[in-house]
Amino acid sequence: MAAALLLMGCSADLLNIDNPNEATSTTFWRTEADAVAGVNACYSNLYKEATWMRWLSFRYDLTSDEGKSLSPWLELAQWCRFEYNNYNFWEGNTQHWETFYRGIFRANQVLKFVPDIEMDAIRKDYILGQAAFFRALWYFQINLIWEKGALVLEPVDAGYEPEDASEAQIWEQIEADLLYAADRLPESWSGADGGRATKGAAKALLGKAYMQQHRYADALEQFRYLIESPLYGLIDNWEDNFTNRNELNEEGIFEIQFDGTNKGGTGNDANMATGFQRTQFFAAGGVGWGDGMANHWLVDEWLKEKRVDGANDIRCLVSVLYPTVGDDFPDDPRAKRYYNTIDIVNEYQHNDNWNKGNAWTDGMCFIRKYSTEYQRNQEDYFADNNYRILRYADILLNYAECIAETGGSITDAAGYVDQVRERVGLHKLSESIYADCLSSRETFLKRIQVERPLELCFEGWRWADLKRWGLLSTQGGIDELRSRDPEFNNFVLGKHHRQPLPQTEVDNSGGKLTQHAEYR
Amino acid sequence: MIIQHIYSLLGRAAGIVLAVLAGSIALSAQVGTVGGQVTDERGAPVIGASVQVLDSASVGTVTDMDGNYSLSCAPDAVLLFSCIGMKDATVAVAGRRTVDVVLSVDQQALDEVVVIGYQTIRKRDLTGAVSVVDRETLDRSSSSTIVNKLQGLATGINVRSTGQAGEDASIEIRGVGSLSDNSPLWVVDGMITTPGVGFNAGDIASIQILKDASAAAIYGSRAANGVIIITTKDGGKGPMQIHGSFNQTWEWSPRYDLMGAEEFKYYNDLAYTEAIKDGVGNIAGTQHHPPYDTDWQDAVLRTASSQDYGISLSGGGDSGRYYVSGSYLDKQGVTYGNAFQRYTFRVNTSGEKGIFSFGENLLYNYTDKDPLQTNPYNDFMRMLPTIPVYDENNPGGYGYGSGSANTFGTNPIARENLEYFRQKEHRLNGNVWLQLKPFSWLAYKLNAGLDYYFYTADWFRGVGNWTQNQEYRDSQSNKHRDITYNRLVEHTLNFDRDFGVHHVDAVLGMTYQTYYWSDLGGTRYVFPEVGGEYLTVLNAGSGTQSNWNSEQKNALISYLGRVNYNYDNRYYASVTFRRDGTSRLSPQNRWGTFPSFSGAWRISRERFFDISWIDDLKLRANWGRLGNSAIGNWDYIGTVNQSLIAIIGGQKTAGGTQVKIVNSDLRWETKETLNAGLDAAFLASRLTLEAEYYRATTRDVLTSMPIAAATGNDGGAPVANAASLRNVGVELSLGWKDHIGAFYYGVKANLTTLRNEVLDLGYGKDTYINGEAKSSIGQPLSMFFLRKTDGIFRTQEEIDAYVTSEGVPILINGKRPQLGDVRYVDTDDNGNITDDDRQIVGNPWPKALLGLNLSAQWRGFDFSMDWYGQFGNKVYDVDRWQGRYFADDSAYIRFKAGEEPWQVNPDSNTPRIIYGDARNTMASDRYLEDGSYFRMKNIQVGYTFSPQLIGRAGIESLRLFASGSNLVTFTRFKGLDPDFKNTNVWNRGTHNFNFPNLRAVQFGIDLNF
Repeated sequence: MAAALLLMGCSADLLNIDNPNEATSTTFWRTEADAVAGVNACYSNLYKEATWMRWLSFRYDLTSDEGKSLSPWLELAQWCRFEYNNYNFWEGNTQHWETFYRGIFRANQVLKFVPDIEMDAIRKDYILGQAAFFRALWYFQINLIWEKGALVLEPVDAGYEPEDASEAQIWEQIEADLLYAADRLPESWSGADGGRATKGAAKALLGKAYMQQHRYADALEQFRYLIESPLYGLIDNWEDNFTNRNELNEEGIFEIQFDGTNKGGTGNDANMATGFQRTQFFAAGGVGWGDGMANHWLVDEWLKEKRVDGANDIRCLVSVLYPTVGDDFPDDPRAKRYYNTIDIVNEYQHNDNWNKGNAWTDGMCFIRKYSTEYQRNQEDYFADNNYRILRYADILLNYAECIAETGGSITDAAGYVDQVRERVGLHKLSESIYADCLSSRETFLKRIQVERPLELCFEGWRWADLKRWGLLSTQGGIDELRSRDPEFNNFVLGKHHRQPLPQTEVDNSGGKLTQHAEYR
Repeated sequence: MIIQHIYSLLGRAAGIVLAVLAGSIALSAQVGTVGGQVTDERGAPVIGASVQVLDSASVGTVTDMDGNYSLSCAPDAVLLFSCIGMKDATVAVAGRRTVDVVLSVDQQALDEVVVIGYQTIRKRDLTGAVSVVDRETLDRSSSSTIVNKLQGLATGINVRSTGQAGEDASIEIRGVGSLSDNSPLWVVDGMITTPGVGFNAGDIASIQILKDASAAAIYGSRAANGVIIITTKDGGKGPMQIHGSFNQTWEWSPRYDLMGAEEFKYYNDLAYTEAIKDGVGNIAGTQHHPPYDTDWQDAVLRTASSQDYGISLSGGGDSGRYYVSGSYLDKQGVTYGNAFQRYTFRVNTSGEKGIFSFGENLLYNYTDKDPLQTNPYNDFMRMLPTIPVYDENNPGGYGYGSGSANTFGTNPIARENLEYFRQKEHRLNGNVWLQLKPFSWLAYKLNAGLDYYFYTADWFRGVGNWTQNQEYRDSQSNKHRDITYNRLVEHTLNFDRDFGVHHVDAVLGMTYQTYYWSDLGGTRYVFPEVGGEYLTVLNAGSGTQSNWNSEQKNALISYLGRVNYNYDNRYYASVTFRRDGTSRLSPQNRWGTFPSFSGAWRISRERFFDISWIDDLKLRANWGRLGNSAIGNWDYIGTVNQSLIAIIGGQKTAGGTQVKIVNSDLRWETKETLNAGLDAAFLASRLTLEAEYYRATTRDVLTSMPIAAATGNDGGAPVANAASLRNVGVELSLGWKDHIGAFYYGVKANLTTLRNEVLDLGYGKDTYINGEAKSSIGQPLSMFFLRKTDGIFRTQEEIDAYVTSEGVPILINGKRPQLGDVRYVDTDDNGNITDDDRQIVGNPWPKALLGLNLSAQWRGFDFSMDWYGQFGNKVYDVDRWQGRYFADDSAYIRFKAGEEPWQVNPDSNTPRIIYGDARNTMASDRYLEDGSYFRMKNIQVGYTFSPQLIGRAGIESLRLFASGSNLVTFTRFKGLDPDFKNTNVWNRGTHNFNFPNLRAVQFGIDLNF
């Protein structure tokens, strides 16, 4: 009856029911705390399957000549060998697009709303700088994968239809965002802010963006900041670039900070997974799934030269797993046992997933970099070692490349390569079996094309490198790649250097977003 | 008199009901025996008429199949003869041994009364489209949910079933109007609620379906998809009636015809050999098949046995009536790991004194469901016969895909065993009403209702795997609890008065409904095992834990009114008005007004009308506007998700941002319907006809329409006023009833045609593509949009001729076709077969739906048969696509003779099979099938024992019956079942491992004391 009486008063106010679950977007973006939360949300988008957490490694590492996929999930494997038949393949295409644009949406909200928040000007700049860095980071991936996209620079409404933006237009935006970010971001962060995007991260990414456009002089200028900065350097123990033992160090320019305590899915709740998942996909069958594999030419290259102490390059042991590793690293327990329990030779002899029915010595070459076997007996979706998106060793090699490309001194350039080599105990180039490469710009640049994967394989940059070097756009380049990776037999020049746009996005864009002609 | 004749039929059919209402048992020995025959005015026997000794309520009987009765009574007794629809007759025995009685038709009672929302009116006075479902027909179906039972029993409704225990079917009235939610509004005893699977259909007294705007307008904003009004049973005046029933049902599923291990290996090797020949991928050899031969359908499917028990007590006197019932349903699923139990308890009472009357309806039910964790029909198609059900070498102990039997299919036995899931729901639903009737023509009614749910879901997963390549997961326990309060208060004022030949009735009211839902749940990881069994309570867990809680609320305020006027039962006019305010739309847009107007003309009442073979003829027309706002509670407000996590500085750090994009200017969806109809009865009312034409235009359809991913939207497609649609159709219902001697029979056919057209699409789009379907302005919704094929290449000449108009060789997936490959049509003529070559290749909408009900009675026997079918639609058969997917490992559908692939039979229409190369298995019109079917939904034979025979045992009536469901289907559809439920309106006709309707046989007994 009380309700009945209430009704007699029958106030339309009864229809005003606030959402008790979440703040509304109209009341948010008012305080500094909102601004910080907003930029943190940009970081949160790193914990999605389509980033380096999982699938992006399939795009960059496995599609390139570094790796391949023999996944029993046929379509997953096909998308690592240029068999793009279903343009909506979620894990290989559509999910990347969706995730990158979700990251852009988060960055756009910060860039749109934070300028109006009353707060300390410097801290505001830091926040805007981080958001701009993220927007550029996502657009960078869009250009690497599709070479076109839609430029969305502020929050749009639901009716938005994506419209073609060219690769050049997107590079232009990336440049603008990173200049903006570098201008505002601090040189370093500490404590609870450790690992946020810095001026150095923005400049490193901008340098890479310039390099992809062959603007080496511009790149050189950006990289110089990092080279000259006391904040950056190489850590002594090379392996710890891939473990949780020494994270956010001077070599890590920008890392995805992984943590294994949350055990949820990859959604947007307090229990969302924040662990590194690719380790499960790349670990060999029995521990993981062996969905990603290394091409054996990498092993051959590492073993071509000995360290100063006469031993083999430790990067070979740490980066990959191959049948005869025990012969090449006789004193290292990791050359005999995998994840502490698996006898490597025995497994190659008896496990069909390892030898694929061939002689065991011809068995598969697995990816070991970033594995957590140093601390666990198995993989899952919750590894806690940080993924280094930008690493100082990479920038040193990029810097050397820029010097050579801009006609600088090869000797100077070699010095930066040598820093990387000497850290793992190799000779300086000039004292190595590759000394001849210093004889010309061309030979030096060609040597860099090998030095880079030996240091950086499976760290997500090979695909960009192949593009930049023109190996994906010339018949000679493709022939060379085929000699290392037979999957390039499927590569069609003028087509497979980029992926088809997700068809669903093209279908419902009202004709404004067009499919690449070669995929129509 | 035609009326009498009809009545004798009705009387026959209603005999048992009548006995319940009026009967009492004559056992006491009296002075003498009196017998005789009760007939109608035409001399036909009246079956089931009650014969009572006046002033002695306990002495009485009912007439038999020939209208005969016999009872003992004093020679001076007075007998009361009564039968529904006939006028009572009181006859003094006056010492006679034989008393024959002629009953005349009661014109008032004959008029079926229809509940139309806040009012009841005579069906013959209807001006809108209302279907009254015959409850006896409803009871014939062996289904345990109301929706399932409704299929084919009324025009204009389309029921699509699922065969899972504990899952309800979907129902649409007059096709898709709204895109978001096509389920109609349910009103149970005045309470707006969804009966769902927890409802005991045995409690239903009547069901009315309000289909058009004028009929439904009184429910305004939520009636766009039609209204289904259920009235539950009430006690009749008289001594207590006890009704008991028991049904035993056996159900089984249809099966795919899949290859066994030997055949599988042969074709699998053939596909691999082809791949090696073509140099596909890294295929070096055929698979080393494990030595098993598992029939996964045998392992999972079973003949399920279900029992349904019901009992009810009812009765009453002048000042009060009661109906109490209880039921228990124990339903086994036909697939492993699926079961459902339901307990219901209902008390309906009513009473009156002077100008006051009151009543209450109260239902408590409890359901306990063990739902499926996996879709076994998908699993059948993906688990290879070479995989064993159990494999102790795998974590958890079950077989699944491996390097030598390469599939990612789920082992359904493993999944059901490793994952425990139990959903339990307690529900209390009821309403109380109080009526004040100071004058015979005016009544005020207060109605208050509550729908309360307490739901629990317990889930546990042990360590172990059910498919190839599952990552390690700790054991996990998950406990979820939620409560729902749905409250309703209504005030109505009813007016009903005749002024000479003018009749006016009206209702005026206001209602207020609120909804509240809140959940609480927690999860933990890592649980100990004790004696091989896990402890699953949360406190036993030692790993990471988390919890959740959220709330949902909404409210609706309505003002409503209706005036019905008729002049001399010849001219009818009706005006309805409803104004609704909802909390689900923004304050600017939350109020909507929903009027309707209707009129009818009973031509047969005109003096000039003098066609003897037409007994009744009425024309009706109406127009009305309805609404829909069946969307989320706060869909119009963008929200900020503040529980996003990022790791910064090595620590979990909270982030907050708007994740989901919304449309803040959402408006009411409105549906305007123009309806014209005709009711007629011919040839002494043996032939009846109801015809309707309708044209419904739905504007600003509220639906979640997927938007561009480039917006960055996350968390689901936002709701939008996304489209406008038009549905046009005709409904015809034709009935014939007659008898030949004691053989009575009836035929009722109903036909519904449906045509929908998209007038407008959301966000100003001209087309919208979703999966295999495309919606375009001016076309029906979700037309199939696929690659078109043109047979397979059988000669090199055909391959050579496969070029564009400019002579460029056409490539399929970048390669030239070979002999035996599928020939796709290069629609854009550019030399590449891609998505750009898709065309509209079929319509998923049936042109017509047909229901056919046959019934017959002969002495104690009754027989009925219900057929239902739909015609002219296409279905995209994903099951068959998967079952013929040789590009990857899959279970295969067995090839019929002549159907073998090209390598085996170059003359067949099955292409070359190749592993690792999808060129011959791309989504195309090859998987499009004719979805037409005509099915015998139900067949039933019953026998009612004669009262004389069983009366001595103290039983008033006894009926035994046997029925069969879905036993005969005529169709060319190749999948398991052409009758399936796909609720995605954007891609309506795709059959994607939908659960088939089950075949069933049922035996039942109905007993009255």
